[in-house]
Amino acid sequence: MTAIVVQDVFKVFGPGKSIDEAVQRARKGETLSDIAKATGCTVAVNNASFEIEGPQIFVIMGLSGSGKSTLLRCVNYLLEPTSGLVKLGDQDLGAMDTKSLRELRKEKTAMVFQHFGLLDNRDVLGNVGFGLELRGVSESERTKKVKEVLELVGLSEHANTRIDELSGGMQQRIGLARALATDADILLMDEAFSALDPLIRTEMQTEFLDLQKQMPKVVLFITHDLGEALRLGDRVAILKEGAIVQIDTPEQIVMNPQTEYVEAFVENVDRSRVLTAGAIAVEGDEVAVAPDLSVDDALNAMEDAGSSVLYLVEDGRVRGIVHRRDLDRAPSKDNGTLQAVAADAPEPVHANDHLLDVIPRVANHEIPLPVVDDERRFIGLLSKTRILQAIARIKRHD
Amino acid sequence: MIDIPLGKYVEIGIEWMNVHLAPFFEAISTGTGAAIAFFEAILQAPPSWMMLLFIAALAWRLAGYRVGLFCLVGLFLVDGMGMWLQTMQTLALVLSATVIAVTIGIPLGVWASRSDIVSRTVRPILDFMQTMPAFVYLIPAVLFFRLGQVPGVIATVIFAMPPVVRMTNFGIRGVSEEAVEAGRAFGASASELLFKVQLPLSMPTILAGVNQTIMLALSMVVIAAMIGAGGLGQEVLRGIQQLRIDLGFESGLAVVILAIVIDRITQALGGGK
Ligand SMILES: Nc1ncnc2c1ncn2[C@@H]1O[C@H](COP(=O)(O)OP(=O)(O)OP(=O)(O)O)[C@@H](O)[C@H]1O
Ligand SMILES: [Mg+2]
Repeated sequence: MTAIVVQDVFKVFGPGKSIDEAVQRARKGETLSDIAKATGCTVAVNNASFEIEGPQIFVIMGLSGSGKSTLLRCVNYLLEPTSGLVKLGDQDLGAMDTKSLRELRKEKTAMVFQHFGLLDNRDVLGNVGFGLELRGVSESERTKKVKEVLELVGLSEHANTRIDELSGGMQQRIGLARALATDADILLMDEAFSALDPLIRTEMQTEFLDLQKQMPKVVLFITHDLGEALRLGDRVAILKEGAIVQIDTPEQIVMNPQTEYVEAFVENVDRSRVLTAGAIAVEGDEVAVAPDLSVDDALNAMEDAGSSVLYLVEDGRVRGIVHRRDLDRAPSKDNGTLQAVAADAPEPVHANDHLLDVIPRVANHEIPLPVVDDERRFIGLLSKTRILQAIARIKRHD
Repeated sequence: MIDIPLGKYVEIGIEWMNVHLAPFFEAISTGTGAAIAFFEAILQAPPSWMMLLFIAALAWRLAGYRVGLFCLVGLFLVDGMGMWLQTMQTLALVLSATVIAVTIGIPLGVWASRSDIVSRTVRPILDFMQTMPAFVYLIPAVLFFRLGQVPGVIATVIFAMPPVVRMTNFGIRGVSEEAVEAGRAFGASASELLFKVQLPLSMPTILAGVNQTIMLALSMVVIAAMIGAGGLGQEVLRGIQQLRIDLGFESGLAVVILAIVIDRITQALGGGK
């Protein structure tokens, strides 16, 4: 079942009588400033649609005022959309009354805030247990759960500390712990790391990614920082003036920006941190041959592919490589197979590795390195040239 | 000159109200009287030395040994001057008025914090109430409740209520928006939001308002001796009317000591260390 469905959602702020008109105009594609002039309304979310299937980090990225917070609050109906559909699982939020919406927020969603939104009058225990308290969980059970979650965020020492005695990074861990304590499937995070200074922020991102690996959740993560979006997101939606202009994987966003707006955004990204080996690997079909190929056929294959090296692939696994120069030393030119002259293949590159991490190894090899997927199946080759092309934004085919 | 018998009309109006709203005033009067009797009974039950030690110990616990020591010496002096009974009477009036003012004032402040219309209506009234000289409150109190402790407390309630209303409204509006949103995001209902988020977070501000209300109550209760509320105010009044310097000084000093004791203790309650 799809975890989150957001379909044709509009959210308009302004005088009640003009709101409908503003939506009509937005549908027709008028610019937001024209709409504001004509109706006095702010279209904060403009026809946004996306779906999140299951556990993953879905990032919504946009500049200040682009409607990120508003869109996020439509997802748990803290703000009711002016029109459009929001579904969490099989529940249509628009059809629910206030009471069941409250229940849904208690059970299904949890939220993390930019400035943490903690209750300063309570200690850490009281804050982390807040969601459970609202759910009516008994105090002893609450304490148990809170201790567990504090362990997870590395603050188990601080159960009885006052909030204002904690650093910003620690406070945000408490914010995160409060959200995790409810065991909600859906995490809504509004610029959760934006208030932290850069070092702590990177640290939190790393911890968060680890956590997500341990306990995958459906995360809707808001940020205005493209670097953060690309680092955390399994998918990234770019928001401009309330409208989603592109939804893609970080690599696709960087490699194939679909509008000039996105292109301008990704221009200065350090692509080697975003692109993975798998995303830019070139197909290796021409140079991937069976180990029992004859030497003659191998010579032909090399000529056809214009390559001085062949990769011996069997059952999808790379078994070895053969250099042109070694073919001459083959025992019998007529019926020998390649196995006899094969050398060990270089350690393959993992498809999920970022370029930044594989560049040193690719640079150290004469030949392109094989790229393998999670199951160590051969999926292509990565050459120095290819890396340079990718970083220099030269598209392969056009 | 034209004769404008405004007073006559007002008198007619008030008489009409006294006749037709008698049960209403009666209820207020009974309730207030009961509150005063209750506090007087408690404060006057123990012998003065016991009460004195208790208050000093309380002050010590809440506000540190300096304040505790001050209370001990100050109240001892009060007792020695023969002002103990009057001081306890005054304190009972202050406590009654404060309890009533806070019971009405906090909900009113909460209401004002939730509605701009209420807030905009209440604010000028509070401003007006605070600019009026304290004496003015004695007149309607006397008109509706005659003389004695009850009208004294009622005038005091009206005079002392503005700060707690104002500070409650101000405090709740000042609660961080994200904290409130966090409450909503985790499924809090309106009342849970109020009692688990808004009131606790604004408590320091509200208590500062309560402190101000208590101090205003004390000053008003002394003035209310003019309409027969008794207590220290009455001694002050006698001192003035009979030009008795000794009495005037002793009762005045007792008021000051009582003021400091109450102020320090309630401030400590508000969390200011
Ligand atoms: N309650 C509101 N009433 C009127 N206008 C609003 C309201 N909330 C948001 N807006 C407007 O809607 C637009 C989008 O606001 P929103 O807070 O969603 O942006 P954002 O992308 O989260 O920005 P930021 O990065 O500053 O947090 C803005 O123009 C804002 O002024
Ligand atoms: Mg925002």
